[in-house]
Amino acid sequence: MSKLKCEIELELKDKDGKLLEKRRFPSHTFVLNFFTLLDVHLAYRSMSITKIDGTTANVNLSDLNASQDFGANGSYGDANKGIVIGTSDTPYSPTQYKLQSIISHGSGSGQMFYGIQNIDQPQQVTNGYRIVLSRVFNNASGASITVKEIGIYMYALGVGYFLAARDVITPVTVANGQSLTVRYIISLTSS
Amino acid sequence: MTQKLKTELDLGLKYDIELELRDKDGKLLKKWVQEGRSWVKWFLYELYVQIAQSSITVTRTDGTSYTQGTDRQNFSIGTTYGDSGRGIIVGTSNLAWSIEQYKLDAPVSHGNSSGQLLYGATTVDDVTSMTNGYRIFVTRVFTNASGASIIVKETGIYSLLYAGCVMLARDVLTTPVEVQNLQSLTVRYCIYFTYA
Repeated sequence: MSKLKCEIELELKDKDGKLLEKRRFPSHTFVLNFFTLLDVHLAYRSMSITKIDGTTANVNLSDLNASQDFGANGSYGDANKGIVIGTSDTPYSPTQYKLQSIISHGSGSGQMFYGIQNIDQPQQVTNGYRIVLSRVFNNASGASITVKEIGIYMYALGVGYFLAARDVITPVTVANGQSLTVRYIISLTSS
Repeated sequence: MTQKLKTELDLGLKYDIELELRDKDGKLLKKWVQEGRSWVKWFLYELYVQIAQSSITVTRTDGTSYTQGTDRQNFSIGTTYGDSGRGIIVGTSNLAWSIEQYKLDAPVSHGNSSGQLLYGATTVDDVTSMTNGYRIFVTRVFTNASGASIIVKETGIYSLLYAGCVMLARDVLTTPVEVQNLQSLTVRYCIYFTYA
């Protein structure tokens, strides 16, 4: 028997990189959109997904570029792809299609800098394997920002960007000059 | 301050395996469900390839290594009648499950000769809701026209790659099932996630 699970790890660091706080907790992870895209590829048949703007569209499998489906490899500053953070504590629902109050990239009021989205190759761990997705968010806005929700935005051809996972977390306040590292740890272990 | 929660909730993708044994007239003889949670490492690898938009070396179901890259057909398991190289596969070995396995230990091939079963199409249904979750049914019917009984002890799921196939899951049946000549076995995977 194997166990597939997802955990979230948070690290709050000061401007010098000194660790101030570290948490690790289970993620509720998936929303319906992710599961639907999985079904699209299991069945190899187009289905409808809700985009982050609330409209729906069909996944386009007729184009070779559908190989980009599930992509979460956001580049620096890209708040449409990869791990994203927000300030809302609206409870999780599997039909949600976006973070409820996303923090955008930048140094303006209420903004944070989005680092590049890192996705490590599968690593062997005790009794199994894991994938780690991590992203660093820097606050240069001039004021504190309290993060209350995190999620993952992915891409699917024909749909564009969509919410794949969302969690409401115990709030973490990121003061000006501090950074927050968010890690999703997806593991498959024997049990 | 370092904070670590002690509890670990298993909220990942799970699946159950439903089995139905029917006689030659389609009459249901036996039906039971086995909890299945036997994803193998190649499932995680395939997920990595797509999420990272990268590539990685996998072991295909024929035992050869392959550098798997992104592809629109990754994860595809729906297949046609007679294809015993993809979709739901059954076998006759009860070798213990291991996360490293890349194929069924003794897969049954398609046909009506000794030791063979006729493989129906593997169908994949649309997502449906269930209590506090969502599920996908994947189904295949195996018919025995070999002239003798075949005892099924293992099931698995093979997924298409750009070239070849990779195994996503393998389960040893808690109770082996004897499929007599002219009987059929329906194997149905219920893949689901729950959020409460």
